[in-house]
Amino acid sequence: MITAVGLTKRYGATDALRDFSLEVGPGEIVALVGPNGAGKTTALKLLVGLLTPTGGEAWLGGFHVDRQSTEAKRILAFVPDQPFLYEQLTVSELLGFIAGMYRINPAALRQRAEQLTGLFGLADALRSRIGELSYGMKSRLVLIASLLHEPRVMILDEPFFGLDPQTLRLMKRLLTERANGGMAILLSTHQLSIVEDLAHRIAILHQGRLVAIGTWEQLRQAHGGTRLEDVFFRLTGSSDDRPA
Amino acid sequence: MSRAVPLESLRPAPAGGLALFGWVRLAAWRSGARALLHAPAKAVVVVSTWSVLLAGLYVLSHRGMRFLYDTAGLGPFLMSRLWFLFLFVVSIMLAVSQCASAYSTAVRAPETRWWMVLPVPARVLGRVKWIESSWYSAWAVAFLALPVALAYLVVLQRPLWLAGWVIGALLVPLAGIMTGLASLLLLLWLRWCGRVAIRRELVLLGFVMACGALFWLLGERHGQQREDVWFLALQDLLPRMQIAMSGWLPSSWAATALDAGLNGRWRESGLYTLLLWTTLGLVWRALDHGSAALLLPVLRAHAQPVAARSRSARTVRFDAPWWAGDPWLASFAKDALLIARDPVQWSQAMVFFGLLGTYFANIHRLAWISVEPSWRIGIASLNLACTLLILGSLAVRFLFPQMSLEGRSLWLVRIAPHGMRRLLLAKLYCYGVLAAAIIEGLLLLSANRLGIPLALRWWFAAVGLVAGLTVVGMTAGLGAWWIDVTAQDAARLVSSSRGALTLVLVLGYIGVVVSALALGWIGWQAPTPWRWVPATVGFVVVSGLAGALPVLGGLARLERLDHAA
Repeated sequence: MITAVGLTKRYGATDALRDFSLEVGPGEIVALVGPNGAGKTTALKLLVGLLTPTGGEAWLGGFHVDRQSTEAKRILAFVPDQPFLYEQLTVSELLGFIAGMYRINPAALRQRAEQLTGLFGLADALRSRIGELSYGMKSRLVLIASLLHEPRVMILDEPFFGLDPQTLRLMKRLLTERANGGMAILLSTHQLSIVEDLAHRIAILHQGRLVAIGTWEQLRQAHGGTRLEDVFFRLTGSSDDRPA
Repeated sequence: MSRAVPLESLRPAPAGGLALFGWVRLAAWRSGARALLHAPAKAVVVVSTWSVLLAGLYVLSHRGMRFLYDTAGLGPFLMSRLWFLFLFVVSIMLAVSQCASAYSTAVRAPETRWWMVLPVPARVLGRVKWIESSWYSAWAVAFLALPVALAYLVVLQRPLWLAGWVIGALLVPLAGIMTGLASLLLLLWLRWCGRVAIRRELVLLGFVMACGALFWLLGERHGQQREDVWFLALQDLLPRMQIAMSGWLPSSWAATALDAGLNGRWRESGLYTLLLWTTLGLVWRALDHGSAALLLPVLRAHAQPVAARSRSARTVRFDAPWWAGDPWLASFAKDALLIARDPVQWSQAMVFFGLLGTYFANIHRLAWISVEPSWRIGIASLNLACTLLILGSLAVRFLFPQMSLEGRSLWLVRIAPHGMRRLLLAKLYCYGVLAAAIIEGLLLLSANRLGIPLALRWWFAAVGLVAGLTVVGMTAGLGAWWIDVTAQDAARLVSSSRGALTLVLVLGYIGVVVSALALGWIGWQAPTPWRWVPATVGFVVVSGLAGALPVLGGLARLERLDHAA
């Protein structure tokens, strides 16, 4: 469902991402981890079409991200690392706008919006302006907005940042349920403990290169260690015993 | 990988608010200048375009002033009076522009919240923000006044170095006084009236009605036709400049100093210049004290989430908005809602177009209108020019930065099918419909009050419609072409070289339109339509190109935009 072949992004003399290849199948959750500046956000933005690659190609659900962008976007949900939204619109107006962009009919919109806002605890805030919401509420709203058109592919950049424990648990359950329903999910995060629980496969990026990919078991066998943290530090050359 | 910087080359930024702020801005400016130097072709295009535009403005000003100067018996007298009117209008525009610019730079900019937590006193924070917003409001005035001043000196046969004196000694303090006063008024308004801002439409309506009453009172009816139209018109018009020539106005001091200096009365000129500079000092001293006492409470009140002060939690049933199912309607509705909820945007439009509408509605009361039909058609052309100039300046102020200000929310549209293309076209439709409604209403009102022939009324309406839509296309298209997704401050975008260039291009286009109209009007009066037809065809072709090319360029730019922010 998500396919990247040799994706490369260069800014002047700097390689933000080099030869990134990855395949995420239906019903699979793949986590992308790596230190800051490793190229995770660049990889995700290339996959959703927010950046133009310097080299390589990508497909979503069999549709080429560049040449068949309209078809690819119809089945895609993207959650960015920062919940930037139209602050002057109300929650229901934003959902209406999203519904318009994806041609969701009003009856389906009403049913899905009521279900999702109830699930994420935003039913009380439908008439509130987005600028009035807290960071956590905005993050939940982005999730609702991304799921409104019932996508088949979901790409999330740091989706757990700023969420309270209750929403975090809800989020993990939701992602697992959606994956069980056949959705392909690719997410990037720094929270390694969640990755261990949630992801079917883990991809580790370092300095713009994919240095390892596999299930948690495969990574442990190949690189040793009892926790993902050990594997992570071994592969990225960083250490957790630096003086504070 | 990024170029390594040796640690020993790192130096702390200068301490102290003003120096630190200047250092931050200088670093940003240096980075922009370096980028321009690395793209020599771009630098050549920017410099050449500005040179051509400034040279064009000089030639235009020189010809206009030469024409006035050569008008028998009236030239020198009229030109010195026109400086009073010019500086008066510039002062009003500076004050209005500074209100929007200061609000955007000091209160709305997210950067301000960061500055609030730094150990920088409120007085210094206010000082840097007012200076910066004043620069945004006024730099173009000083820059564009230079060719006008040069043309004036050439016509009067005075040394050209006096242009530096006009700009440095007279225009700078005048701009400083007006921006300082506007900032002070804004600060006081936000401190004590910010909470009742929701009722500001009533305040604006009252303002427009008061202006209407003023026109009505000033107007007087002249039933009979006069012979010497030009003389009577000028005689009747000049006394109405009493407001602009009032001795209480800084613009009047600057104009008096200019007139006295150019006529060799340097002592009088020096005294008025001294008056300007001391007033500037007093105004900024008052603003400084005002900032120290009021700025932080104002900024805190605006940083406070609205939900925390007014709304209580309640469960609301989800009602899908009626426009939700259609992508075009949804994009259109989103823009309409964003305009409606941005009072800075619509209140300025309301003030300027309201004043213009009031003037048009009362124009038949002014004595100098009751003259021959050709004079009325001339006034209708000037009214068209005024309407388009106001539309152009408002479009550059608000529509040009729209695509860039979508910036951080742009991902939402970018990942939707056909999102980017639709986003720009929806803005064009939304602002196009608004502009068309306003322009058509105003031009038909003007034509009706002036009593010009019916066929010409529709011609004016058609020209206004095409020109208005072209202005909207130019500003929206260039805004998309030069999109900056990292920008957060509209005032900074508008006052950037690209914003200023857009303004100059729009004004240049309006100049061409009015010239074409004038030629067409002459052709209309003539027995053969040989001038009217090519002028109209030329106007349509120029408008089509000027409107469509930036939009096509903007669409192409959006399609390959890298959303790295």
